[in-house]
Amino acid sequence: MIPKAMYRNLYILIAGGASLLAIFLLFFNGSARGRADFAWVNGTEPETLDPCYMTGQPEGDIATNIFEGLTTYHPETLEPTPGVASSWTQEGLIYTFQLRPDAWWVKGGQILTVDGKPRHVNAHDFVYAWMRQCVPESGSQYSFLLDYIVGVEEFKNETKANWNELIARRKSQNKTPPAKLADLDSDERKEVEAFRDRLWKEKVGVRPKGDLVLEVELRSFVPYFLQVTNFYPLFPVPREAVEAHDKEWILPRNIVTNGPYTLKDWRFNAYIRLQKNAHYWETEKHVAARLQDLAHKTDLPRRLALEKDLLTRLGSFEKHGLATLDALAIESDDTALNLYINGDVDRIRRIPPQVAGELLRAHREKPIPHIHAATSPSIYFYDVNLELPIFKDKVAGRQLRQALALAIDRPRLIREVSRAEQTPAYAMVPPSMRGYHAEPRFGTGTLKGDLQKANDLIQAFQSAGNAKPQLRILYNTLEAHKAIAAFIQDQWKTNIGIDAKLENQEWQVYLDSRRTGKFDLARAGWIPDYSDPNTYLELYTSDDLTSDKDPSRLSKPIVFNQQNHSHYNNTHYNRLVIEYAARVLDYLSDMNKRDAMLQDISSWPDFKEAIADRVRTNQKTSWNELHEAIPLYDQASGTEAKLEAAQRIRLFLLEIAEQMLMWDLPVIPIYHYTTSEVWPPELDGIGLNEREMHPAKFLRWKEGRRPAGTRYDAFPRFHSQTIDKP
Amino acid sequence: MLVMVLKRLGGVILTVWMVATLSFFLIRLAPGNPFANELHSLSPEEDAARRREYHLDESYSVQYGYWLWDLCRGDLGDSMKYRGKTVNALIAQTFPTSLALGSMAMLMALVVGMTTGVLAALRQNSPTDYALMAVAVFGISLPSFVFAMLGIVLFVFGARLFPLAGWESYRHVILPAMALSLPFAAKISRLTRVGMLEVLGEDFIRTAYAKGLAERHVVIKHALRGAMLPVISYLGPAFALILTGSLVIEKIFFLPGLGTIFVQAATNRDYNVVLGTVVVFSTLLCFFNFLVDLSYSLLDPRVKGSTGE
Repeated sequence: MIPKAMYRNLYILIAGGASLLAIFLLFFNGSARGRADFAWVNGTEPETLDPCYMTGQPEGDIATNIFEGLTTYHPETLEPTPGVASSWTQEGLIYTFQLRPDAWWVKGGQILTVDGKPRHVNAHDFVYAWMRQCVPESGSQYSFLLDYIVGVEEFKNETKANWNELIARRKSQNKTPPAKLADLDSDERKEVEAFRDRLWKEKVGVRPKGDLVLEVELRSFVPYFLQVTNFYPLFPVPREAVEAHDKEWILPRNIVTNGPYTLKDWRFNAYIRLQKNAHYWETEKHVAARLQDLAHKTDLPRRLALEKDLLTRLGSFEKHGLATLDALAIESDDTALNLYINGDVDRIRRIPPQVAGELLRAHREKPIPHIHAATSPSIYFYDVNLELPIFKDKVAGRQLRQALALAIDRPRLIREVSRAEQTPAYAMVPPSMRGYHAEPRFGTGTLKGDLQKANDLIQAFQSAGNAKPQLRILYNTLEAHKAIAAFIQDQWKTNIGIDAKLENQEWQVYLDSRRTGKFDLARAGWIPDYSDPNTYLELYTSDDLTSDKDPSRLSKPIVFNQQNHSHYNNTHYNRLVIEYAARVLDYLSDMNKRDAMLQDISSWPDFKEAIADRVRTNQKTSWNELHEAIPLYDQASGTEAKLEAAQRIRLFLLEIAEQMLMWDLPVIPIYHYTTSEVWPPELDGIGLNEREMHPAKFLRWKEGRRPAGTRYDAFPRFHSQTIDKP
Repeated sequence: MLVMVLKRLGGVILTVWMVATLSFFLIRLAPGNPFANELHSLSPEEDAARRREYHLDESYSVQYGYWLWDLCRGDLGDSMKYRGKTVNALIAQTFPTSLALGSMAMLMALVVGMTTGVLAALRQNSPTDYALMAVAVFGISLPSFVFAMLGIVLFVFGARLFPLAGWESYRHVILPAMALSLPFAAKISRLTRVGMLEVLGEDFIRTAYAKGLAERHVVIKHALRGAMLPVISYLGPAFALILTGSLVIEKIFFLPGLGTIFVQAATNRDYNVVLGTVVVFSTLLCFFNFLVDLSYSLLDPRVKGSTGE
């Protein structure tokens, strides 16, 4: 017989194992939610679903589906299509939106009722949401988009002043300063609210006319305004929910939404499950009526023709829209691609950089129907710190910057280092802007053609008594940025004999260094907010609009655009972008102003070399084209034609501004990114667009349901020998 | 015994408090802030209002007071990056995942590690021993994501045995738990082998064999205990390591665990989340070490003696 004590060791082991198993069974929290009709990889975990606080694509892609603005957009062309507004008209600078009566606020799948009545989205909801963006306690990073509206800037400044006063008063009374309105006593609060309402009514050009009409008056000519109204910061929000639940109003149990989908479930760092909103206005009946309406009209404008085509092709959301969606919070591009190939997700945002080069090249030779690639509107560049003595010098600083910009072999950088078929950048504005003449704005587009000039510039720089500097390239710690910086370092050393040191910093430290000007050259990028050259050119402006000769100039400190980390300050450039282009209608309609504007542009010291003599690939100069376009404006008749002619002139003005910028080079463009999204060919109602966000309400599976199985065979296989080493 | 337990528990609390306090000040001294944004920034008034919302406009000592008071009430505060979410809610959603994954990985590591370790020790210097220990060296030196990738190629795209990623059914757990457990299994295997060999060389084992006891009895009753002691002392740190070190596995297999949050929060300067995860992890680490000490005193008579029993 074996004594019992013998087994004690075994017992302990078994008990240990059993308790581990018990812990596992007790805590396992798998979601077992099943496969949604459409699942996409949404990148990093959304920070919030409150349109007022969101800033990124992962948030925007959800918001676009659960909320709806005045307009929404065509999935392929980005043309505005009806949203909460069923129609709109434009008279000069005033837009009038007609809201639909059946756009409901929905909570937990049911129409929200207030005082027993169903609650539809009304014009006051937009006022509430937009005002919320402009007040200090909930101010948003995107509120600058509202500055196009009459009076918004004044409103912001006066509410800020009022807020600061309030804080000072409370401090003097030994009360804690407020972080939000709810922190105030009810009297104080009413006073603040009344002040703001009054101010808004007095100043701001956002005027509800009853519940269902919203009038918006712009301050200046903004051809892309209807692109802004479908952008998430301008979505309406439900006052009742926000006030009842404060920050927590966006949680699934509290949220009230008006989009085609509702928020069903939200699990941190995992997924967001969206469910079709049964009360969404785009019903079978609605679509039939709309199509009938459009069928009677002949000679439809482009926008309506597109809408008609879309509705005919896709049918109503009520009948054909997908029932469930999953947005997965996956950061790893490799996992994303694996999941796609395995058939677990239906859209990924980008191909992992390690295989992007090979896959995109294969795609270019023989199209892979899953890959959708194009030049992206986003750009990769280096900011140059103009506060540094070496760059500050008007002549020598520019010579050095031009030499640095010219001495980089961008095609080789893309071929050997970044390797994802990017487009070399010799300008800030990407080639895709409609109506804008994009082309290399410095150099010839090849290193061979530019090398001599770069060396001449360095020689001129040195012969003026300047020693070759030792520069530092700052980037945030990431292998890809490091490789690019190392390549450029090598290019500068071999091509023009300039030494550069690499300096990497952790993300937040890097942001801080850029903000406070602690860099020589800093890696940066820009993702445009809307499709117009202005979003790139605005970056390098400052509030300094006075003439160089004005004695009062520089009596107060210059406020630079938030993104103008280079501290570029060219008053001619500022006036071109902030004044002439933005208020082009004013300047065209008044002959004196018009002449003064042209006179002012040509008085820029480098005007001749950088603008008048710079012949473009079409053998013309932008200055000549501007002069040719102006009489066309005078001859145009009718509002539409006038606005169109003004827009042409506006784009030439912006082009001249870009030429100034690319002459002075406070920024060295490197490349335009490539968009490489992946979705299956069986999917309809989706297309490459510059916003890189795809409203799910248009999505349809061509066969009526998602094809089962994996997509393993759809992708070419690479073997180690086909991958070229840098 | 009770005195020792209380003393140790007091030590746990003291250590956690010190770690949390140090982290509190370090994370605030690091450049950057939770509201920093690359593309657009807030106006000074807006920025001030957000700081005030989280008491960030107060002095460090006042902030520390608020935070400690909340901590004592079991409230880890609000996330500053993920608006509308409390740190408690984030941890409640993600910690069970880490715990389930970790315990399964630990279980696998123990079973595989101890079995191979015992086998190798009993067949010392045989081909079995060499082969097992060679595999173990591989296991220790190769990072777990290599196993993860290999596992995906073999078992998902190859044999189609397991789902690729996600956290849905029990089947989703096996592959990530395996990948996570391998380095630990290897370590345990080596520890077991060494522990066993040491005991097998002792006089009392020879006596046991001389008494005519079967090998099975000798191993289970005497040798196994010797092998278990080093393994148990390794378990505490190992379990904590499995829980905190699952970041890469979480990323590859898309698991909503605490490891990812831990790293994200530091990058985001999400102060409250950083501190919340630090508190959880340091408590775990200390608590497991405490448990190990406790079980040690139960298993090893020499330790028992030293505590005055």
